Amino acid sequence: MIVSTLDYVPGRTVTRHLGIVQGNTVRAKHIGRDMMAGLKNFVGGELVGYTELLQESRDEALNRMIQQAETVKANAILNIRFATTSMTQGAAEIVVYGTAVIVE
Amino acid sequence: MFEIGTGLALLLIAYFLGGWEIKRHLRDLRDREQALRNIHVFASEQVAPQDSQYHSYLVCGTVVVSLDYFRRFVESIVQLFGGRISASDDLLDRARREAMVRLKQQAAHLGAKRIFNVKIQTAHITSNREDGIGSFEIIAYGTAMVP
Repeated sequence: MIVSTLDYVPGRTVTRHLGIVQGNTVRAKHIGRDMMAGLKNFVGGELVGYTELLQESRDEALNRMIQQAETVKANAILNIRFATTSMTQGAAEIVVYGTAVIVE
Repeated sequence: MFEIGTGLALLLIAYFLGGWEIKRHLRDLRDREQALRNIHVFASEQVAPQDSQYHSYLVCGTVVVSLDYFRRFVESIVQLFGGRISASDDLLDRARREAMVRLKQQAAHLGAKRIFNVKIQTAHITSNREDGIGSFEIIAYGTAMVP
């Protein structure tokens, strides 16, 4: 599966468009991590716990999108975009979407 | 009286710790940017001709950052009058550089020399207090061309 932010695959041609595929995930913060982040918040700088949490969420959203693309028999997803929304205090939604295509 | 004293002490500690953290991060960023200067990043969609037979891979660099207690306090005062908030300017700038460095590290790990169609996105993820400035997530992502 080719996953790319470009809207074409260099050196290959797109033979079929299969529409949009997307994956999302909503994650709440872990209480332990939240306490650590609270401490780190005092000093400022990177909140490593949150970076890791959102990274895991992003990987999960990507996997869901790839699964969806596999069910429609695509071999590439082009023009990928990410979006993050803070839903309530303590939870964030991550969406990733792109166009499923078949390339030669 | 005692409470005001503790509050001031906390602000003072946060001022020094926060300043130290900023200096450390800037030093660290300079070294890593220097080490990764052979990897080029483009906002353009058009892939370089020498990459046209390479494989496309999604690469992504993320970081979540927040201001320290002292600078958040200063910021809440500045917000009463309006105007430029230099601590936040500086924070978001450093965070973008950090995300970009991580993006390049991922590309370097895959063996790529160039990354195309890079997007940088900022999300406000939590607010620490009802009125305050919370933490921000910066995501930089793009397509690395891997030989």
